[in-house]
Amino acid sequence: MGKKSKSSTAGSSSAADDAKHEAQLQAVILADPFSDTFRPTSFDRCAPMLCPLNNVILLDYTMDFCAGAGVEELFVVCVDELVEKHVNAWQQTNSAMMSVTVVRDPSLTNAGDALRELDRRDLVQSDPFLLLRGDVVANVDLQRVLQEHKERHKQDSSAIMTLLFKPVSPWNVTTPPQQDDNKGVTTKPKATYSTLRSSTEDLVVGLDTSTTVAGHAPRIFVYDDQPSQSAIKVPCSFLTACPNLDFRCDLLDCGIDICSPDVLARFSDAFDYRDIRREFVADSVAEEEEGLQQKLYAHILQPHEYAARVQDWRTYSAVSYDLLRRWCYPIVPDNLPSGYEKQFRYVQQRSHVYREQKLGRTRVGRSSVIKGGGMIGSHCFIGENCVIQGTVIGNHCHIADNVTLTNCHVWDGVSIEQGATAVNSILAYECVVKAGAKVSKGCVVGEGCIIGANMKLPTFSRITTVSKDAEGSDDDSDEFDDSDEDDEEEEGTATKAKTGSSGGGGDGGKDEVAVETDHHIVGKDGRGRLWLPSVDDDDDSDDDDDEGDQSALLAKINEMKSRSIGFDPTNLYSERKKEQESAQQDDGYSDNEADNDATMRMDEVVDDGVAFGTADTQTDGASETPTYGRQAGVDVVQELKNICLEFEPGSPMENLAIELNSYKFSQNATYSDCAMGATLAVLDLMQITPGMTPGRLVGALKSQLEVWAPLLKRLCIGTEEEKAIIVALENTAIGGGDIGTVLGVGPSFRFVLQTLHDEEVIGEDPVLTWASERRTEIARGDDNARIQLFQQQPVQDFLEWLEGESEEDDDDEDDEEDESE
Amino acid sequence: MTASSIPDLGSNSLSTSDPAAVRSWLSKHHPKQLALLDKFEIELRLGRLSSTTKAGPDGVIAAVGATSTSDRLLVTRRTVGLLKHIIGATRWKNGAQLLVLLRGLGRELHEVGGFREPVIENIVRRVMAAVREEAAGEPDGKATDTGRLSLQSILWALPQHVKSPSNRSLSRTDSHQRQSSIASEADLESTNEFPPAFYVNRPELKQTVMEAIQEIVTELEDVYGNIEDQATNHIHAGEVILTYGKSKTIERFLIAAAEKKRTFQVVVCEDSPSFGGHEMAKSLAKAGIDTIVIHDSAIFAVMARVNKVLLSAHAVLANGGLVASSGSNMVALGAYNNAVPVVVITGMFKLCPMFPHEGQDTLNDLVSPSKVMDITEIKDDLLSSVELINPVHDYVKPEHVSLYVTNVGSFQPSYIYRLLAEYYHTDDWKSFE
Amino acid sequence: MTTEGDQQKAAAAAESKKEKKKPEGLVIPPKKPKLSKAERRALQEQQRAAKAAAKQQPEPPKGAADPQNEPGKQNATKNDAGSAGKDDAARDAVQDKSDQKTVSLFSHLPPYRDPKSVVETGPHLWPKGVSLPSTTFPLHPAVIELGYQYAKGEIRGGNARCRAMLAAFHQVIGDFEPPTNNGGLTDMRHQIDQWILKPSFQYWTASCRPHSVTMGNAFTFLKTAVASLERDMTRDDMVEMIQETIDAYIRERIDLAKQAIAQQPALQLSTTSTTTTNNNNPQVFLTYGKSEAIAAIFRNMAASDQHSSSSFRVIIVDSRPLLEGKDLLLELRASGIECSYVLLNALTYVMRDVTKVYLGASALMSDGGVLGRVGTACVALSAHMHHIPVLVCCESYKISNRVQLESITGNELGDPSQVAMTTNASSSDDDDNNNNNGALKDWLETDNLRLLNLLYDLTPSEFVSGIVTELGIIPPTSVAVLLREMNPQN
Repeated sequence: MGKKSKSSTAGSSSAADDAKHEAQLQAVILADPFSDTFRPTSFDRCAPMLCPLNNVILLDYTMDFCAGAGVEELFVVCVDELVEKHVNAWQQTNSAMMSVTVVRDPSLTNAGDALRELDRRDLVQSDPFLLLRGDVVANVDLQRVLQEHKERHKQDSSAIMTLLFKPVSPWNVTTPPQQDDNKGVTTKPKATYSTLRSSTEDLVVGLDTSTTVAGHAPRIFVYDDQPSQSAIKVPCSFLTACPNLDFRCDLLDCGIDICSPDVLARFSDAFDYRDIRREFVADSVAEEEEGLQQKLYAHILQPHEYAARVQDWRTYSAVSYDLLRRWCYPIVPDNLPSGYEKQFRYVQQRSHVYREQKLGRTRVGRSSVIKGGGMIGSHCFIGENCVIQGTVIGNHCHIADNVTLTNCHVWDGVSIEQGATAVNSILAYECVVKAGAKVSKGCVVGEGCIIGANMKLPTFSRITTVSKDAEGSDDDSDEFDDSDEDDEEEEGTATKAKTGSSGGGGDGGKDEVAVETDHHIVGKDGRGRLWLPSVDDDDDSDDDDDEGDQSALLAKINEMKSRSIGFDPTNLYSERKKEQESAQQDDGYSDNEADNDATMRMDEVVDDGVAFGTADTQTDGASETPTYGRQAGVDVVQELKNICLEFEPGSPMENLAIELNSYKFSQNATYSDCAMGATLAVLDLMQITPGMTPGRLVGALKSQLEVWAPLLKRLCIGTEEEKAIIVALENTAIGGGDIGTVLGVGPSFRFVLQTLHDEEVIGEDPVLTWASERRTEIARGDDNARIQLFQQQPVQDFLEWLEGESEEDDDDEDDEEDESE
Repeated sequence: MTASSIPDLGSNSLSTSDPAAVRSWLSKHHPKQLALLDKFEIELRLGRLSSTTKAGPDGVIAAVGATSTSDRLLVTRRTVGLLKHIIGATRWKNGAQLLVLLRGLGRELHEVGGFREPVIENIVRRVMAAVREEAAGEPDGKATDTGRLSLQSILWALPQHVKSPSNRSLSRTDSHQRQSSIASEADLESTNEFPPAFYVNRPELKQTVMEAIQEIVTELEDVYGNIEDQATNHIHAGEVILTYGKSKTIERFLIAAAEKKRTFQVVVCEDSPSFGGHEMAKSLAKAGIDTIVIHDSAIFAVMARVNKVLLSAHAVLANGGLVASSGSNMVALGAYNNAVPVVVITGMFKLCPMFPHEGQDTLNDLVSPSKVMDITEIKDDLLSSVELINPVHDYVKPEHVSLYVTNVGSFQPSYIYRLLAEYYHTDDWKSFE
Repeated sequence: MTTEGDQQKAAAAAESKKEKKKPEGLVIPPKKPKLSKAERRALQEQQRAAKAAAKQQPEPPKGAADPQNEPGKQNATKNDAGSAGKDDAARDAVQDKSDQKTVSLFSHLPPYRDPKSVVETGPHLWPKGVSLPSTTFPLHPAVIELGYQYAKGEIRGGNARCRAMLAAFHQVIGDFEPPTNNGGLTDMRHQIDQWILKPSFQYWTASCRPHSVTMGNAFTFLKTAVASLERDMTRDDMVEMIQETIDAYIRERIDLAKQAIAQQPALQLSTTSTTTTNNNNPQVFLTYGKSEAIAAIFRNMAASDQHSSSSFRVIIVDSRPLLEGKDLLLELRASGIECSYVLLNALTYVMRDVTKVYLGASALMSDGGVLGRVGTACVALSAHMHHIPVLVCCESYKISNRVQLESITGNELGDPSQVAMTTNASSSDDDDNNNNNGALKDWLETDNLRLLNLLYDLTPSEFVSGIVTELGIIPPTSVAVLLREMNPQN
């Protein structure tokens, strides 16, 4: 067929024709975001990729793009059958040029699995093949890129992948590339950003510009989109390999890759790859071994070329806006993707307003104003005195009088009643906004929901009709990472339990009412419940207790907000900037020499890990540990201690625990730190005065422990934390001051230690490990305050007794342990 | 405007010119042609039809947004190629069926984006006209027919007569065919859209139609030639000629004049933001013409010294108006105010049987604003809410155009409507909406 | 891009050579490397010429300078033609030798001077005809610096240039100490005139960039002010007096004038807009490029607009190469005004909805013609043809007593290489890496190809419905009246 077409349209040196010379071009669309950013609508009848963008199903843009790129065989990988149905339907109505195959596997939980699945089925032969996310909107002509990739791959079989990047305004202005990593420096106070970039990624790409002859794609050396990191590690070998390595943070990853089949193989080899970008690309780019290197290349789009991903509601509205403003010409509302032109024909009016003309039947009240950038589908009714601005309205919508819509996305069949207003929000299929209701910015009103009369939705709230268990069953297919189902479930319930106090989205213990509807949110006559993100443990907290979920939930809620329409990222970016700059200052010296070999840094880290305690070493630790996100110059333990001190007795211990926990998260601290802080606090509260006898000391301690023991126990996950308590004790003892002098003398220290043990705050093992460490230090022959303290007779006696005890009765120890849990 | 279904057509033949029907018919009987159509449509939709894919690494000329610097003639040729292929390969018995098919194709292409490329619809109309002639008259009488047929259909172009005149004309011109036509069609005639002769199954019709199309092709081939021949009539020694942007036709026109030893000076407006003028100027200078490039903003300043303005056309409208690359209107106004003649140089295939009811929006299109302001410059919401407009075309009123120089001669704007009759059959004028 | 740079250097070299050849009385800097024989000869005859000129007429020639750097002449045009003729003759001689890319149509205009050449010749340039004492009185560094800024286009726009000039004079006169050895000039007023005002003004005009009308007017004003001082004033009084006059001029004629324009009652939204509550047809204003006065007007409207600036929006038309409109855009957006931004090619497209057109001007001809940033005429014309009122806003000190019929007579040439650039990124330093994909990047090599970069054009008065000055809105025909009212000395 291909040949015939060529012969027929002779004289046409069309791009698509050239593609046909080679073997059939294949393309793979990952038609699932493998994330929960589109919830709750992703539970409704529309999967994320099926939500209408400017009245065109999102996935259709991508498929049309493939057709335009001369793709002849297309594989759509998806998890839910809705997508499958849609794609099959599309195949019916659309061109016979491109054969579409749906690869559906409900068990897929991430992109990596999807690719492995593909490899297993051995469907993809064409070299190269296109790998796209299903949410790509682009007008790029890929012929040249494909060609270049082919040549590269011919010359060098390890050049397996070409990624497309679009330059957009960076969220911080770049400085001319330096030899060391330069992310932190490249900031300027005014928050400039591009709404096309998801607020949760912070992409920095290191490109080898030396090879960039015009059009020749530069090779990628660094790919890092972790917003949390304040520094990028660049191996020396790279810097020597390519003298002018160009670090760019103004690039938008278009989600369009041109791959050779090896990529799939690579995924099969490394079975633990989940995300394509964060793991596969980042790793293979970072590979130093010449032999093992997989070369990835970047194709930077021309200014007139447009490509963007719809990753969350924020980018959704941004892309929609760009389409209306014709940035993606010729992919514009008045030039619908194939198939649609049969039913609809949008005609552009001034100031980028598009009206459906083919079916028509849309009536707009004379006195209503429709302003810049908007669409109105067919069979709509818009009443009088409405002010509709920058709003896309689907088909069969009914909008009564005096309605105000600003930058909204109104899907098909929505009805909005008298005097309602909506700002920066999404009104999904057939939802109803009753008279006088207000939908505030960033809201997502799920399919079929009803917002009661005169209700005001809090900002960034997402309403859905889908029940929790439905959500739970959905989770395993939607989560980023493969957390197995029951885990999900229990966390789900945890969320339920907690939301009462979480204060997320201004809800008051909504889940106590078992029914679908939160009437206090959507009103008496409303329908739908408030949806909150469920916690998945991709945080560094590997514990399952409630506080973990607690702050994790807060984090998730914040992320959800940052991914909603109308979110102003200025604070987020300034925060990020502060973090990065502070980290930069501390790294200032270490970067120059230490940064290039990470190993050396790691050593320092370990040292700090042992040397707990006093402020100065702590800050060093903070500055040099590559675990980021901690404000430098902050003595975490001190802070934690203060938190404890501020805690007024009487109020439940949980709250303090939560506080500590969230601070721990914010500073990326460990439980040991918390334990130390708590201990120090306790010691302070004992109001130790000079000349205090050990007996009084123990009494004071006991009285305090009645309050504090539960917290300490809770904080102590393992021996590590308990040992931290001891170390804290030790440090205070040798730390001088009144406490020091009192504690410093053997007996008192011993008794304090013993009391803690008796109160089952600390078990033997930590004490013993602590002891053994000290012994080794002695063996090493170094001698300091610690050692002296340790060697005092009473301490030794205690230890001996302890060791003796631990031999004889292990078992009842265990029992006690159990009770203490 | 769906055509009334014709009873005496077989089940395996097309009965209505509804695009969907055409598609299904093609997919049933001629899948290959359908695939071909799809291909054509995709390229049309993505605007890659008109762009010769020399989208070099410099990316100056790339597929997207190239509509302003693209080659209309190429589009036309490819359209003819498509039609030729489809007509040649598909099964149809008589003129009526063929016309139905063609109109279906026309509407299909229009839906897909033909409204961006008026030449496509023009060519379809041309072919339809040719088919009508072939179907109506016997091969040899064709030459004389064209004149009379179209002239009369002009005279009778009044709406209420749209059907009758063609019949009447037939009754005069080729009465013998009416006798030869099947009697049973006499009653159908009133209901039918086409004159009865069109329903006569004529095996040789395909042959003659293909020949007619071939004539169109050859005419397109020597469009440039015919235009170049007139170069010396319009460009005189020592003139200062101002032209706007890039146009293959004008380029060759000027070069032809230069080759005929005319020495003159050309002022080229750069046509920002597409900068077609730069390439234009380069090739002119290469051809040894004394060329000056100016900013668009300097047009009025320079106009005082200009003797003649040459403009190219995207489409020529029925009222003699002109749709040209955006900014042309400014040039025309400037010339008009300085009493400088504006000469439009274009091939007749750009002649559209439509009127500029929407003024500036007629056949206009807004392309990506990336050339007005780079997307990297849009740093915050303050700027992203700014409306950036980058239209491709301008409508120039006929009173601001002095002359059309075409491949079939030079005419004043007021004569254009008459040319329409020469080219298209009045019944085909109506748009393919 | 590297090649580009070389070309520019080449161009610069060519320019500078031409610079020296020009019989303009510029003394080749002694530190210049080595002089070819030709150059040395040229130099000698220049000096001879200079002496001769100094003898026969003390007043500076209209050489390469913009023909009217001495306002107060009625027969400007005639004089103009004459000077142009002289100039042509001079330049043709040069052209024969080095084929340079000047457009014959505009050969009467001084060619664009590359800033580099200004650096080389700058400080050593002594305008011909300035008779100086044996102790050469050097140009003040401030003057030279400003000259360089003029040449590089760092200071642009009538008001800005005028302000800068006056500020410079303010400083220089402040620093002026009458030398002990005054070459016969005992009168300090003459000293200031002869040693400061004239030389620096001629330095700017002749070797940096032709002066704008605003500068011309301000300069004449200053000269007359100095001349009208008491002869027997102490140095300090005199300096103080002059400085006060300068400040007053800046304040009254420029700044206050601008405000006065912005607050013209006729321009206020309340009066202009028809029932602002009706959002269906808000006022749509169109403006071109950037003008201080117009920015002020819109900001004033937005401030006084009770309907949160929804009752009017502004369409900013812009054009290469300067793209000054972008600055205006940012400024207006910052004050929350709804804006559209288009390039000149979209002019007709947007003109349909426009209710009023505001244009800035760099000078007003006494016949009501408006000398403005190039492209202004196109906008005015288009608006005129669409029957949309065109208001030209300019301070009254921009009124010139010249008359000019079309844009070609008195104009200024910009850097031709700017035409070759195909980037719309506002003319910043990264141009040369953007424009390397332009079709004209090697325009210097291609024969028969020349680029023309005009800076101004003249809008005929019939396109202008009204001229907004601080003294009120007047029809373009009565500019002459206004002129007469303002400076009665002529």
